[in-house]
Amino acid sequence: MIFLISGITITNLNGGKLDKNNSICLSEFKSVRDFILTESGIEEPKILDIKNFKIQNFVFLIKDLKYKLYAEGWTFVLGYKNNYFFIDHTSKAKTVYNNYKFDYFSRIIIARLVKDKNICIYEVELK
Amino acid sequence: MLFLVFSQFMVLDGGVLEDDNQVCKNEFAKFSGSFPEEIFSNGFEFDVLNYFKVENWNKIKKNIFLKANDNKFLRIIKSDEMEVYVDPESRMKFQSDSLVIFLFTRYLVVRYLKDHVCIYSFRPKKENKK
Repeated sequence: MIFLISGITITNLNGGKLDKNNSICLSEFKSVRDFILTESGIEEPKILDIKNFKIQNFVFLIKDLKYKLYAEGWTFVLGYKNNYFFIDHTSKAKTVYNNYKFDYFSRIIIARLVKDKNICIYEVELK
Repeated sequence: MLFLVFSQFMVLDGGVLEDDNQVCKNEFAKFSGSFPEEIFSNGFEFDVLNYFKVENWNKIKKNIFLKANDNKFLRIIKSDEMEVYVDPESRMKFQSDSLVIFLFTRYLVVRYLKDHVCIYSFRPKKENKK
């Protein structure tokens, strides 16, 4: 049985080294947020957790990240422009926009390559 | 069901359907590598591959979003160039090395060009299909 736990549990990745200073990730978040904001009336994305890794081997790191998130039940959707998107498929939520009801996934993990040196991993909630 | 999706995306308020979608085929090659290689290693099969000349950007974007919603697609990302949706019911189990994983097998992608838009709905190509 797979359980998704809020908060990124990954603290080590093959090909990367955890960096506890998240300032680079915080300043990078606007670029991440722009991909997931919708015109649907959903509020600003809320960061549930951030992990910052210094890249030692990018290929190994991405492979290990995908496998560890898969193992926790996250579903990889795509890698686009240095961003890797994972969703919690159980986080299906509903909203109303201009009297039109629609569904969306409210929990997303985005791993973003920053300046070829860091990977910022954000767990984000859209409510 | 496939016919329904196909016909839904052949008419879009704010755009005019073009006869030749070769531009979209060429565009697809630019981002097809974005999707999980575990499921798309054999290539893609299109349910929808339509090319529209845009007359009104606001109308066509809104119309695409609403039609995607009507067809049970959930949007994952949007940017100035592209929107990506998945069919949540298409989530399937795969074996990847020693790990059992789940991935979506039906995507809807909207690619925005200068004055055109490409609409793609696609699935993994079936093995051994001639």
